[in-house]
Amino acid sequence: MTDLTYQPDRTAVEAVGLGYKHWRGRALRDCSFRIPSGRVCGLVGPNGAGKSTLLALAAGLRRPTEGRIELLGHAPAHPAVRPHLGYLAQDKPLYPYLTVRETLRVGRELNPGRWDQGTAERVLGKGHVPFGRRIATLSGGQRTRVALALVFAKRPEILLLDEPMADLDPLVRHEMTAALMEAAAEHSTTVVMSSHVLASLEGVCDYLLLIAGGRVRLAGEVEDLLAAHSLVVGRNGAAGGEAAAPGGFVAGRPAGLAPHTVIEARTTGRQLTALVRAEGPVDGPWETAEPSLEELLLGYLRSPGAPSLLTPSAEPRARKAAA
Amino acid sequence: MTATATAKTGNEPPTGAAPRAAPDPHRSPVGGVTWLVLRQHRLTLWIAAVAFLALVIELVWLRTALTDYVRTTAQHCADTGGQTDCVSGALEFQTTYGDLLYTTGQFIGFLPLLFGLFVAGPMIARELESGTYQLAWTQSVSPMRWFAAKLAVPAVLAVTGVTALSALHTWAWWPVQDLLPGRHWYQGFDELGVVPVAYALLGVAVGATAGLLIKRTLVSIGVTLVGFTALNWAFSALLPHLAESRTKVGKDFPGLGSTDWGWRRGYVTAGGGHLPEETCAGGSGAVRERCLADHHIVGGFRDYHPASQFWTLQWTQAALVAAVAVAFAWFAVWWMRRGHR
Repeated sequence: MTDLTYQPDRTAVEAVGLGYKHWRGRALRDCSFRIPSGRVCGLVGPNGAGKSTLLALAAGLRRPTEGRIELLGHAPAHPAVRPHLGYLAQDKPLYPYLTVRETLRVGRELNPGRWDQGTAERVLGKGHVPFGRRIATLSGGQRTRVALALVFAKRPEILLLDEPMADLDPLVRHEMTAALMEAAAEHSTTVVMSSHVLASLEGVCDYLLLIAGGRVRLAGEVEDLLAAHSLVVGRNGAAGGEAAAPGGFVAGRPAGLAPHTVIEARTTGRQLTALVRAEGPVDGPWETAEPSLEELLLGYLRSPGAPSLLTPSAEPRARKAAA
Repeated sequence: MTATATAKTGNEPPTGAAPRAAPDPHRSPVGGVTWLVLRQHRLTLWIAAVAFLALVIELVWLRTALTDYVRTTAQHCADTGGQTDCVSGALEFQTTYGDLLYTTGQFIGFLPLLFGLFVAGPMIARELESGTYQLAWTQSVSPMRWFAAKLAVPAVLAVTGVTALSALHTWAWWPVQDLLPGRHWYQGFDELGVVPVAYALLGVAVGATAGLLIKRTLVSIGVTLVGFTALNWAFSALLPHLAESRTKVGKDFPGLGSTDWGWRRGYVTAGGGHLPEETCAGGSGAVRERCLADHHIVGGFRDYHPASQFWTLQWTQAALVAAVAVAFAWFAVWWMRRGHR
């Protein structure tokens, strides 16, 4: 194992053996992970991976069919957790016939003692969303702003955002991301934000949760996850290994990388590129480099059989204690 | 499970971290989820309020007009030495006031179903269908409170409105109950007294349960319609058994008083037993004679409720309907609580 930083701080979200099955089939199976408090966690995965299901379970909108998920040490539906939880569903549900002003009043009425009108107005003010307009007459971007204002003004300790920036233009997305980061830093809010646009998370998230096929593939600090992997480039068939079919994925493990866990290897002409989880220094005629976040995620997404990796801080503590 | 996990990880949600919001000077007396529910259905409320006022005015006018007409016509009949059924025989009385009273009564009878179909059910199903429940259920206030408001607001409004209208309708009907044909107590039973109030509760409870379980507005409307109608039919079938029935026996089917509700008739055998009317129904004279002889039938009987049992039947029926309504509401609350606190 590489030297991964381990910070025994508060737990924001923890799942142990979490599974969810609905009538169409299984959305999540045996998911165990932990997100420490104060992190901005990117929840990544292909479409249909179970990202939305996971967030809905964390928000207490659905109940797990197996295992459990806890926020701040309690079930999501616990009355002590509810006031500290902000959730924004993917399609940003709002009451269409209410005006913006009335929508803010909904937030105030349903969050007595927590609502901060100033925060809401700050989020809305920048985009010049007219307060007297009905939600139904707003543009998609404006609606997203109202929805974000509603969750921010609750001043949650944990923010669960399902594809929050999907329908914003790049300028507004940048502004909203900045507002989110600012709010998160100010109140040391834990943010769990799903996205299938990998690039949108780069530089935003310091924590990562990759799920695919309903399972956790990667979880932990972005830095540590990147440090644990190497991108290895060399000549195809170097160091006496079998030559892989050009232009394709390498079926087996390229020789010479034997001591390491090869996540994915592919050839382009005579060149072989491999993403490996290095166990010690990589020897041989290879050029090694730290992968980018995108390269790391793509590597895992393209290799469903690759073993999962959880950094120590992402290991659920409840399971450890039970073991 | 939660408690042990808490002990292990030592995590506690912050308490008292939230600064108290300053008291809002513009805060209306109705707040929280109740405000949201009332605001969401503001248009429905206005329509209901206007319809309610119109019906109140109509019923007060109707009562005044009916009593005036009865008084003046009875006086006129007495002056001219008319027959005893002089008042009820007047065609004008029937067409001017009788039909109106009948229509109003029918509408009041339908109100509980309308509440269930178009208010209690859709106000829950539409949120579940459109996804806005995800907004409401992730605020500081629990989903259970949201559901309680969605159940209580229409229940309170329906009970208040229907109580007032049913009282006014009963008040308007009371002086003319035996004067108008087809308006006897047993013919407008579900539109009089306390029974409509209980049905209003049932309509809300059935509608809300259907909305919560089905989560689709149109389908839940359909299921509410079928469910409520079936329950209404069952309660009506049960009604004559809710109070002790009286029986008249005679050579043929015995005659009853004009205000008696004869709800069953049949045959009396030589041994004193009762047989249902269908035993010898149909057939020509000779066939029927043979049938009667075969079954040793010596006479007929009639089961009936006199008008004096009106209030006994009313309260018993209302209690029964209300109990079923409470059972539905209890189930819906249990269902909701199962998933959300």
